[in-house]
Amino acid sequence: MRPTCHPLKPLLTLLCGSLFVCAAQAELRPMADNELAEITGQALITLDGLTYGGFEYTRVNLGAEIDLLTNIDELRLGNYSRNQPNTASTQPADIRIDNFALGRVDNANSSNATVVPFQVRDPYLEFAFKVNGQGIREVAGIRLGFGRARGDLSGDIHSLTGNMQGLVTGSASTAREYYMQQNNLNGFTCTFNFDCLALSLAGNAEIYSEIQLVKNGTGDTTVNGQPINRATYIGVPNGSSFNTDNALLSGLLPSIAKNNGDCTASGLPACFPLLNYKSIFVGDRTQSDLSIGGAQGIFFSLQNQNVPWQDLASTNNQFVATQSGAFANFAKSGEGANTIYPFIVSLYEALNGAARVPTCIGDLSKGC
Amino acid sequence: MNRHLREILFILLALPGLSMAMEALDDRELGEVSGAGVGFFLDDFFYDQGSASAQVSGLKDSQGNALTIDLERAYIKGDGSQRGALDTPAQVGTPLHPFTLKVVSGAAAPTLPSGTQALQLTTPTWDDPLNDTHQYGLWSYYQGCLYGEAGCTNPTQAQVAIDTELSSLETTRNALLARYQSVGFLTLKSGIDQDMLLVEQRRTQVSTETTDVQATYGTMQTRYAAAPATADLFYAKPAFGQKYGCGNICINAAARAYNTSVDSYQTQLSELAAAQKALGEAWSVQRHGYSLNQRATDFDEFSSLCGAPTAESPTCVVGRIQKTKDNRNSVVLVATSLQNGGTRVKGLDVGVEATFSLPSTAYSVDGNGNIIKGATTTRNDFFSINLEGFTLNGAYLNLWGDSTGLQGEASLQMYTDKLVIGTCRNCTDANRLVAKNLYFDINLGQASLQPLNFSVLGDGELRLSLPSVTWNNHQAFYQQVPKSNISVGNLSMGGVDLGSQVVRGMRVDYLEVRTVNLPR
Repeated sequence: MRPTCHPLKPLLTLLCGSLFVCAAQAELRPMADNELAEITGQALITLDGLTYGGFEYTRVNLGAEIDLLTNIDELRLGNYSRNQPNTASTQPADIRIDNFALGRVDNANSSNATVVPFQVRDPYLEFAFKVNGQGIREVAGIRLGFGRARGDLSGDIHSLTGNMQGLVTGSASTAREYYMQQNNLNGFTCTFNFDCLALSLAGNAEIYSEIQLVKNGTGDTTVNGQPINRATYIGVPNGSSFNTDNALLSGLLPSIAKNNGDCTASGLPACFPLLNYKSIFVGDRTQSDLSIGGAQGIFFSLQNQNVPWQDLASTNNQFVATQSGAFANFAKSGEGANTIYPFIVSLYEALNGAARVPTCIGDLSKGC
Repeated sequence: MNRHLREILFILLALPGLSMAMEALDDRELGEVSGAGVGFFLDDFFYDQGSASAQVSGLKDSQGNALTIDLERAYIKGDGSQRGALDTPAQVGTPLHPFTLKVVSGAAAPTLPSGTQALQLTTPTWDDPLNDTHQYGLWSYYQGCLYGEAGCTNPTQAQVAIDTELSSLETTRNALLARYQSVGFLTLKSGIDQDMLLVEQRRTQVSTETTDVQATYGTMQTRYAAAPATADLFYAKPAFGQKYGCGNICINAAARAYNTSVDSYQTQLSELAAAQKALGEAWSVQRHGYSLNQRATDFDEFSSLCGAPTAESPTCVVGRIQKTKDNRNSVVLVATSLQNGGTRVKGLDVGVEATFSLPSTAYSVDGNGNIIKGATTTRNDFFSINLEGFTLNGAYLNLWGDSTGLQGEASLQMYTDKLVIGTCRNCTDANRLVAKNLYFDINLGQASLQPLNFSVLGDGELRLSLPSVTWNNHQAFYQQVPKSNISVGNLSMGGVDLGSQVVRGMRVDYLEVRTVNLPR
């Protein structure tokens, strides 16, 4: 390193010296030569550069394993006036979550209370740059992401912009029960209702559907070709349907359980308020090893235009398209049988709401 | 190399020991030291790197390629230096408001465990609302725009914003009070607790059934892999999850075993569905006209707004509403002071410009529409960071040692009028990232309830931890361990406004950080 000036060196020396005074209360022992020889420089931070689609990126990676339980009263990103055709609600911010929490507490209101932390691996901070029409290089976006993440994420989600891909899975009989309850049907009258009969025929077959952020009332994920922002609902997108692996039903179910633009599928609600999802599990609940069960590609970003961010969960060089404003990416990773969804909820949870897991010890389950 | 460093003035205060000859203290003597300390401030100084150069090397990218950072221009000057262009003298602290470094215990550091002494560093501290970082930082978030700039001369704008927020919270509270007025909140809670017993039982059942489904699915996968392409001459291997046509009387053992595993999986799936259904029914148990799910949600919401109810008709003297009212008082104080012509003690202007020589990999779309990874070349990026009106008033750091290593508690109170990040040499703020009214209120650790522990592991990695809240200390913990806040009044990039950003009321209830050598 070439020489430079250190104007505050006396002050720093004083401070550093003072810190060592404190440490001196514990005994210091010299290291032997062989111990010293084993020490090498630790690459805690690396920087990566890449270019794509006219953008330049610089990513600062921090090598770390982090376990935490945190409660946050309010998270609000992109809080500005917005009224575009693809703005799906009157919410004031692109991302607005109250009582946000990472991690959970088991047996929360007892002396056996146990913290189950949220796990994060290798967080990073990334900048996107672009040369504008006048030839000036500008900051186009910034994102905070995680190499892998696993655990319970809770909150009162008032609005969300970005990708939130989950899987709803359950039994057709569950759907039938709910349908009968909502439509005041019984076992006999059910047979005269086409949707109810179809669900009856499906029996206990497992049905599932990918769900995304959607516009309430229609299930639209885009308006005029532009992705929606400030979503307050999640559900089966317009034109998509519940599916099944059951051979007898696989042909029938998409036709009867399709959202045709009215946020229903087989007469069941297909769009659900985000506020109903008070807790979701990020990553694979069944794989405690973060290397396997941790969800990849999760990030929060802010950008002034449609910035494609590298998808770190992708094995084939994909980029995640984002739009101007704040953006949260809880997208699925992998394909087919190896797909890991950021969260999986049972059909019951989707229909009735996913209760919040406790995130505080004691009486309060949130807001501590 | 040009140096522009003048008049660094250290004032040492209240330091009786320093007038005598300096002698080394042994550990025992160090342990007895308390009450002595130094106060210092820096007056009328500036630093400008000028044309001097400095380089940071040794950094690498994820592939191990080296990169360098050339620091072209760094400066520390007084507020109003026009990002270092003027040699505006800076002042950090005053004789009445100095930095202090001392050993503290007892009433001087009430959070410390009894009998513990700590080395304490504090930054200049003011009590008036304009220079108290917490109060001014709070006001600046609600204000949004940078006070004094065109269109931002009414300091009560913040007051209007927080009143709107408070009104919204109170509307929610009133609706909940009205909903359960005839029930009473203690009765409500009692009913929730009773109904939750069934939920817990059924949650356990769902968990058990989920495990069973996963196990049978795994068996089905294994047996499918071992199953033959054709069984008993006539039956072709079906799709995964479907059975051979010979059912449970297949002669081929592998085919029969697979068919059996399909049945087992379906059985477990049915049991899981039944368990989920039962759990859903438990959440749907009605009392007072509302499902358990709704009642629990409402009770949690009310508790969050007003604190856990202690009466059938609860008060609202703690919780988020009271916190917002307290914040409103601070906002009003700052706004009133500004209306009365009050001004802040000037902060610092701090900046650095650098060029990164960075390996960069090109990605592009090929003729088939696939994104392909291309060559890695070296990119030279210009990067600048400027802070305007930077203050660190009211921050502190307490450090002490015990048998588990270095312990501490810290409060970082950082405010800056503007943070400007640029990637262009000849351009304006319309091309840069500009964060106005940036406030970091970061509190890590509490000496008695959650001391911050810092250590270096045997392999050279760093470890930082905050012990978890426990059943035994949770009430004191939630009252005394401070929360953190990060807010930006307004963020713009390339001239596009992205509004305010806030992470408010963040408490880390447990933290364990271990650094890892990269690349893994």
